[in-house]
Amino acid sequence: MRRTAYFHTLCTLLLYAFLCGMPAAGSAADLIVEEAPSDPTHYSSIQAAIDYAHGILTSNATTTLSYIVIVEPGTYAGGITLRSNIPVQGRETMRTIVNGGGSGTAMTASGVTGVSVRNFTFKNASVGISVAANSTVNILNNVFALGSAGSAVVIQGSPSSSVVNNTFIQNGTAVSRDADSVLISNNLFSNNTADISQTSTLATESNISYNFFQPATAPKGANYRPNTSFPDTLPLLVDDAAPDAHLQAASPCIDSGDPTIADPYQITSGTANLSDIGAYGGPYADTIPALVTGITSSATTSAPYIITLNWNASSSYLVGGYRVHYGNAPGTYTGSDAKNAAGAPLQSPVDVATDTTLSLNDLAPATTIPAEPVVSTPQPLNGSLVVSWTAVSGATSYDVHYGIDSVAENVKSVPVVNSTTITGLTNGQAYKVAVSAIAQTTYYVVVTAYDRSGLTRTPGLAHESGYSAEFIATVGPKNESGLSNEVIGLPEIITGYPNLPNSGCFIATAAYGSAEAWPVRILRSFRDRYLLASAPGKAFVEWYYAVSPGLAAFVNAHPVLRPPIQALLAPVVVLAAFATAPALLQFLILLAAGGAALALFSRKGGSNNPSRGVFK
Amino acid sequence: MRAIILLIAAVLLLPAAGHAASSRLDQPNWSLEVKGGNFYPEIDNWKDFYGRDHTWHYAGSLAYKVLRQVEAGIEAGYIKDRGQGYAPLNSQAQGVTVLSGRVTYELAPINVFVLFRGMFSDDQWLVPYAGGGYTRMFYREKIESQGAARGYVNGYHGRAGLQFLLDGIDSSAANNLFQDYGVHHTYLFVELEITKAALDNSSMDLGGKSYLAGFLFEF
Repeated sequence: MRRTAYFHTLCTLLLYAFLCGMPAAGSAADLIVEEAPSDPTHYSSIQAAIDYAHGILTSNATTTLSYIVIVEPGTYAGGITLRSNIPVQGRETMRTIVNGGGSGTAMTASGVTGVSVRNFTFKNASVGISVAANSTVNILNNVFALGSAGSAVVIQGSPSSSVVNNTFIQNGTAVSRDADSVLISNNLFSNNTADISQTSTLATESNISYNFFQPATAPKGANYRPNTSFPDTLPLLVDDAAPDAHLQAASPCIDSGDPTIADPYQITSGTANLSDIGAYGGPYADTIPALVTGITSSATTSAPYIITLNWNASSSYLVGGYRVHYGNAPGTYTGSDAKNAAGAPLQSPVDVATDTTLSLNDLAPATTIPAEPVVSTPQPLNGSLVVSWTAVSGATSYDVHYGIDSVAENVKSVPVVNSTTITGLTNGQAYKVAVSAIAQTTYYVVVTAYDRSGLTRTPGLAHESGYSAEFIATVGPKNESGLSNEVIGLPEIITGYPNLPNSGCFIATAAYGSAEAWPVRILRSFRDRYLLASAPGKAFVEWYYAVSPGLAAFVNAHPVLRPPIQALLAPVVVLAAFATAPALLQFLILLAAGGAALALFSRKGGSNNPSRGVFK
Repeated sequence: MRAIILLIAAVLLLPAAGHAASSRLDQPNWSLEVKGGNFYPEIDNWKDFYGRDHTWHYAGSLAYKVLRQVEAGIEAGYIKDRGQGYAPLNSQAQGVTVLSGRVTYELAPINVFVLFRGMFSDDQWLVPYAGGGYTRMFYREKIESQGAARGYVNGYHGRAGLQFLLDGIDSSAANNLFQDYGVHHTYLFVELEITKAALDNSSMDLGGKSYLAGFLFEF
């Protein structure tokens, strides 16, 4: 037992010596991966960055260059092949997601050395990370939530690999190993079907230590939790479903990790600088709290003008407070004109400590009335209109007014943009459109959470979360310009050029023998005017296009079916003809039908009325 | 003029010096083409909707050599462009074509062809060729947020071009290609292909002119 503990400590020290010897982000060449890179030196896929580095390293065996692939928050496709000496690191564990697309292996390491994979969330894959063929891969500070059919980490024939400070939530099998030298330490296992699976030939639980199991399953190794001294059975993650694997204040995983692993970025809640169990423990945890959510505001309707902001509190024990960043333009948070309750200026960002509310006081109301914008003829689309107008100085938003008989019928408020799309319109119906400019005191607000370390904060990079979704808060009178010029827009089905027929897809075409038969034309008109103008209608048309070719072919092959199908379609054609008829014709038809019904009713009633003959 | 024509004919017939294939006893039975270039649609006013008068055309073909000078085969191509559609009611009301929406236009011509090659020697530097055949032009026109029109039209095509024998440029590479992959000859070629594929009951022709270049492998 003592020998085992010695071996484990040696392994741990060697692992961290290896990691400390690795080039830290910034000292080596960082290859940045983004979902949609605007910088041409960045990569849009993890594999592309790995392959670039691999090409350089293999083309020059004596190179002193080293690379680290840094992956910005986003969702990336799996099927990634890892290469020797190219570590891969997410910027923010919770928001840097590798999605396996429902099957396959998200990351594969075969015969590679000098690789670490850290700070990712793995989802939706059959296997999260596969390590094989004598690879040396250190899997650190990741979250695995693959579902009950997934195997998070599978290590085969790679005795020098390790799995440290990861959180495994609701996987089929969390970790598989076939060598007892594979280090499995400081991990948090929650609601997996099997936590650690090792080949039956392994008689020991060596190098399994300081892990948390919920529920407890074997093998558990040494110093596991819960145990008789630490009986808490729930790990108390912030959110199991999201997942947000940060720990709540009462979590038994805080400061419960391997005492030989320091936790320099994080906060002690008792004894010394001990690491937490799970993805947010140990020296390689990302130090970025989760995004702040749930921002709301209220505002006074008369002087003094005050906006009061509120947001959801984080239940992560690492969060030490919040900062409010505000400004007067979208994306610019350099405001300084608001004051606190005592009248002192509030320079953005405002540190509110652990409060989840902030009042922006003594706000100046807008006094000028903006000029009227000039609107261009709307661009027609299927069931919608794209409306564009000139920018107006001093406008903080615009109201787009539109309607069939009058622009006063509907209004759509939009922020400071010069174009918007009005949706949900009827094709073939003319709409009147006008725009007014609004000037109102408006603030653009984002909120960040920072951790308790007290170290230098940079939003989205270190010790402070990224910006929340931007929130727009208004206060004071709404000064509205007069209406712009009024324009007419006519939404309609767009015709492709060249206008090509959709051949052979209609059962009706087969039933009536020609795509130009009048019932087919009526049904086509009904499709274009009504079905394609609504989401359910579009869905029906898509479904119909998917199933109709086969049926149409069957009808074409069996002409005897045409008369009964025509009979079945007749009421549909009549209804479609009525729906697509001009309004006046619809009115006359309804009038005639009403008259006929009345006459029929009168005749029936008359036959039962014995006194009717008196008036004859 | 006649002298120039005679000179060109002589060049065409000139065997490639040092060409290794002369030692090969068997003859190639198949030819494989990969090519790409520009497609100029026959459709009027194309440029107004797609911004330029041409788009890319990629194709490949496989042919069996009935004779050394006659091939029969099948060719598959792909043509794609993105542009705008139009709003007919608005166009009618405003008296001008109102462009709107995003349209993706795709053609996939499948050609069955017979090709005649002016080949008089295995080592000939330049080989003129011409041929043609049946075309089935598959199309798909996708309008954003509206769905797609799909179908095909039947038509015909003709093509002609010049093949430049590459074997003589690097005879060792040519020998390696033969030994490793059974490729007898490799040609670089340029060609003009004209396709006619008119819609039924319409003057609309989905065909056009394609100026293509590519490689031909005989094996």
